[in-house]
Amino acid sequence: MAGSRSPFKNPFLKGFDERLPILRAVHHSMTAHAYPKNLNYWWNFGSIAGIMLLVMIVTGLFLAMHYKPSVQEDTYGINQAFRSVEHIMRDVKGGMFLRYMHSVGASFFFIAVIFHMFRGLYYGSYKAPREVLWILGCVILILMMGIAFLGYSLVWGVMSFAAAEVITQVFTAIPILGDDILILLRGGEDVDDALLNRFFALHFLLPFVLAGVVILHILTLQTVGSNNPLGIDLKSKKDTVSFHPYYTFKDIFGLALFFTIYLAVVAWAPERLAEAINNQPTDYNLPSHIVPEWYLLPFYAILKVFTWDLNLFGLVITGKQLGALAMAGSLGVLFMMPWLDTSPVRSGRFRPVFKFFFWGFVLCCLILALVGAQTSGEAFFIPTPFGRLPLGIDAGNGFVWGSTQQWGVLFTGYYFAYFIVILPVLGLFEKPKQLPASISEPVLA
Amino acid sequence: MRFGTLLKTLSAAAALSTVAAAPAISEAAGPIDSQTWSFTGPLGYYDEGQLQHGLYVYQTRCQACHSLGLVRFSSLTGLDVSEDAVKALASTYEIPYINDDGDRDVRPGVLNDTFPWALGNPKRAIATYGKAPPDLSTMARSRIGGADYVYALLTGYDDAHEQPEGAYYNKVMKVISMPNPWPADMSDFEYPNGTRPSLEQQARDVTAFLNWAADPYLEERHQWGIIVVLYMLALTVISFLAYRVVAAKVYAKLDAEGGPDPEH
Repeated sequence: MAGSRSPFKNPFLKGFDERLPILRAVHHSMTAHAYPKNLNYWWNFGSIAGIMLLVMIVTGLFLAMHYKPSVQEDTYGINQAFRSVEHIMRDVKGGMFLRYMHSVGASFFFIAVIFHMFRGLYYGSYKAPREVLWILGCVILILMMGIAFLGYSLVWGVMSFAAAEVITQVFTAIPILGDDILILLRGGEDVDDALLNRFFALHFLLPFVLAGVVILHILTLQTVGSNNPLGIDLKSKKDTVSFHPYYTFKDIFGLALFFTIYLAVVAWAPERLAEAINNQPTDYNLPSHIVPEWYLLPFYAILKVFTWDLNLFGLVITGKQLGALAMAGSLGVLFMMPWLDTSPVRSGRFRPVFKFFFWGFVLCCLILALVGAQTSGEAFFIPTPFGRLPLGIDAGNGFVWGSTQQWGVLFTGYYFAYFIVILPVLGLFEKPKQLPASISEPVLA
Repeated sequence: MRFGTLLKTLSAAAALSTVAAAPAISEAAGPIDSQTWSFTGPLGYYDEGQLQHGLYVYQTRCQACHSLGLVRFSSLTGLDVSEDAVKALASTYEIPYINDDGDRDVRPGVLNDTFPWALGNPKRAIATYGKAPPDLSTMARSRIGGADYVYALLTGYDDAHEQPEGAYYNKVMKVISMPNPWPADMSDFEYPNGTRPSLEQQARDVTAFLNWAADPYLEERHQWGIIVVLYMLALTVISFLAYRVVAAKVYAKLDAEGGPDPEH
């Protein structure tokens, strides 16, 4: 881009671009940059996620104009933070739509990013030369989880308090520094006004940090180029297409479809994806059953399944520390993906054995989400439209065969095995199907 | 035409029944049966007559202990009540305030006030009952099952069950500290319009009212949803067709001369 000549003929555009080469950067990525011509609909979720970030920032900005981060209670026993959220919903013009677009939007932002990441996992989008691209994506996921947690706390409802209490408590698992980190996060010993105010400040700041990482993510993409469903490199001009108009139109279609579903949920089921109990202001008691929002459930499951202590020749790691380590590890292992998958073939389409384990991994994440939502010691079940499908029975004597916790341990095991055993070993032994010579000659002779 | 009226017409025409409650992971002890409400489903609306009855039940049976601290009197015009009638109703409430002499005093309520709490504040509520009766402004939104939960709880009392001192039996919450709101003899209870509602009818009406209190702009949201989703569906179809047209042209061009040079 830099050093290249301005592509514009219009004297104003040309003059402006020669002084600030932003227009040529856009022009370059839209028309001159080579994209694979065979990207399927799974590739739509990247642009959808980007637009969702914008929706969240814009709606969040207007919400922040009316929100008050204060735990002070009025004579009804309702805290000011909760009241200000309800004030937005009841008294601010268009406030209900803004608030629900923001709260439902968080879920749909995660939906887009989850599809985007599983697409990357299936088609091997993390492999060379896209390691940095993938790692930036992992940074985005972790930032999103943090921002979502901070935002959820701001409502200061029953579950907001529980989330703030439990998640900040996790950091005390860190040896020596844990208690100091807890005080740093909370702004004191307790989950109180200081915590709410710093959470608000961080919830406002971090989305812009996230936007910065997204820009780096896109810059990296422009440098290394998009992966594609065949997972093979671009060989010639026959394999490529410019972004505009082909992918601009395809992305607009994908966005329109995604937003139709998103806005329908805002209109008719804005609370369906949320925990109902959080619509009640906190009384600073922990509810009997603590669950995070659905998008954090698999990680929450990994956090809570460890209930026993591990004794390593005298060095005792408590169950709480094991859980915290496992949760950190479940995210950390994503960063290692480019080096854990030893197969030279990118796309799962040409890896028959990998496919099987990949869909097992998708199932594993769904099961872990259910584990996160259910009570550890009780019989595990799968909710269906026709009722509960039990996967465990209460044997009496306080023992349950197939408890939520047992299923959780099993699938936490699969989660880690997928990354640190299956993928490394599979790459050495699996015989991949023959790759096509190029995107434009997909049919094998 | 009010949107509620439009919805009633549409709803009758489409004969849309209620959507079944989600298979929620329930924290409640008892079963919550799903009920038919006017406000569920994509064309759900509030029946203002029912809400007015519900308000009356709230005033009769709930407000001695509970508050609606987020519901302004002015919003009662949404129940198809005239502003003058709402003003008159608001003025029957005593709102605590500090007068010009600096003393604690009460004044009649005005439109901008929220429903006051007869118990005054959480400390007095706890001193009186041992546990503060919760504010009901968001109650219908803050339990799994929503209105179905509220209705099941209100109709779930059984005084025949033995319970420890100060606790009551309810099918939804086996041990509940909220006393049975229904007196044994309600034969002379009547609505302002002269009808004599059954216990179930009163529970149904007050549940609808509490759902309105928790979600007063439900009708606006449904109206918005119909317009926005129809618009988005049209946009989806048009953008798909546009994409196909563009794709056909791009494919033709690619076959002839290819795309950008990947080495670029």
